[in-house]
Amino acid sequence: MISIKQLMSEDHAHCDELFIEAENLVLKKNWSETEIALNNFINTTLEHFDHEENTLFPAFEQQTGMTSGPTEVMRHEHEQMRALMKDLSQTIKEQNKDRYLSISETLLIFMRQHNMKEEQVLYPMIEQSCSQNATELMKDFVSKDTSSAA
Amino acid sequence: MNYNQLSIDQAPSISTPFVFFLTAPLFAITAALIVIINGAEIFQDRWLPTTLAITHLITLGFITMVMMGAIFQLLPVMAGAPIFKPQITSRIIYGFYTSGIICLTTGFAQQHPLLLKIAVFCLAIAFLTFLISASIALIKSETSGASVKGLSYSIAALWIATSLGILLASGHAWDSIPLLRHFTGLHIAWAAIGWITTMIISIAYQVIPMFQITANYPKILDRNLTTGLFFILLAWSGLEYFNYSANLSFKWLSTLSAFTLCLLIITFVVITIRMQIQRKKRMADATLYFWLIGLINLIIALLLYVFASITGHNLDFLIGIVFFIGFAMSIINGMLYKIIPFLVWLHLHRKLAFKTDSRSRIPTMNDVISSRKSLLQLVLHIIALLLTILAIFKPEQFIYLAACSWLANWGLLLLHMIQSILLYRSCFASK
Repeated sequence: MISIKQLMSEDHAHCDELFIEAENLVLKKNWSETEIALNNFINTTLEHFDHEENTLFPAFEQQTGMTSGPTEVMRHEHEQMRALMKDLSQTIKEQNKDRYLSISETLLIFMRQHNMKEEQVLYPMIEQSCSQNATELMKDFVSKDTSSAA
Repeated sequence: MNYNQLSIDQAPSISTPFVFFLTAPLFAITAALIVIINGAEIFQDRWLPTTLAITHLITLGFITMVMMGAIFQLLPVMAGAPIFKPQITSRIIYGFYTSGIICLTTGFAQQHPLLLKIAVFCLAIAFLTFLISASIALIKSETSGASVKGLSYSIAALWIATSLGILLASGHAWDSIPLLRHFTGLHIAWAAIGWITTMIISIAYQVIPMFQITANYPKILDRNLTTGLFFILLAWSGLEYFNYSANLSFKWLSTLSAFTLCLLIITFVVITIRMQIQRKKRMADATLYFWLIGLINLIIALLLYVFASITGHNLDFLIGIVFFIGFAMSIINGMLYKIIPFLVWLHLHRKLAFKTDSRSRIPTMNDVISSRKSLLQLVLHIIALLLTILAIFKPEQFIYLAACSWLANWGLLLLHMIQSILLYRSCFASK
């Protein structure tokens, strides 16, 4: 059986890898490659957010009737991360290494503590309340994953 | 599952952990000042009243002070379990705890039984309030995982360390209560290994992969290590107690369990250092170096302990300094350089982020405490640590130099914290 927690956690780890790839390139001040790597990270992360906000969270909210609980907090944190990602893109335009590293440090810690809350608290709750249709909920996400891997 | 219990965003207000963090360097500075006043005599005997005072200013005043503040912040994030009414609870704990430490250390230094009595009373209330609230939060938590398990064991160990500490302090404070000095070894072991080391291991499970993007810890280690440490410590305590009270000769067995503890912790440290060397995040910062220094000191402290046990040398001072200052304080200091800038950013971001005109004014973590500043303090920390170790062997020559360098070091740490708060306030004021 499909595990929502496992698939989504693996995607977190994948996003981390892309994130660090971009940061390591900034250290070399290789701006054109950094931009590609950063966009790659941002797009993958935004897809992850989209899947949560448009598929997983609504299903959970419908099952439990909780619309103003943890999912609202997670949505709010997504907004904060979207803002930080926008700031990162801006520093690439300015080719400002120090500012990039400073923002990326903030984003990294924010992102990891956000992921921790999802992996340890929210995903297990979603998995429990939506156990009937886990495969259905993860269908698009898994197919996206295999198509991008191919 | 109780959904209402899910408290994913119930992080306390910024002042809750900050009050504890800001107070910690003040107690450390007081310890350095007492060393300057008393000079080389503090190294004559670990039982000297002044030495006991300095030890507790460091262990209670700095180490446990920061750890308590951090737990208020950590429980909601790591365990989805906030402490009940964190603002009020933390104020009660803070009030009794700081008064307790002041009375305890002054009571020790001045040999003043009344102050020690007040200290026992204040510290008992502070620890009981802290332990009961943290234990309830952890029991209610439905989160499993290595870090939460480790955190639970460290809180359980703190129950034991505190009970033994209160018992010992009561022996100092009341003539009618015998001073059970042979319990000191147990008190130190439960505080140093059960509380401090186990908590740092639990934090490492989360933050080492988080800050440096390393591989995760091997499953067998993160599932079993803290459980193993707790129960071996329990077995060791039992053996030590029976060895003493029933005059039984289980000495070899208790030595064996102590060495097993050392071996397990050294394994953890070696794995952690290897993970850090193989980290994916190439950029190194002060926090990484503080961790490395702390971990290397932990290995040295444990090896010295094993060496001293085998050869019968008295290395109490060296082991104590390498463990509490070299290991615990280094790691805590390094963590403060991540926690403080992050919390300043987080709380400002929450309040100002969606006002378009104020967003640009939110400082990044590096604006709060720059890497140059934290690296400078790191260098001071290393110099002070080396001077202190030299001072154990040549107290007359090095003790004042060591104490003055700690004064500068902790003064700088305090300054960095105060600057962070001022920046936080100025951002608010200009909103």
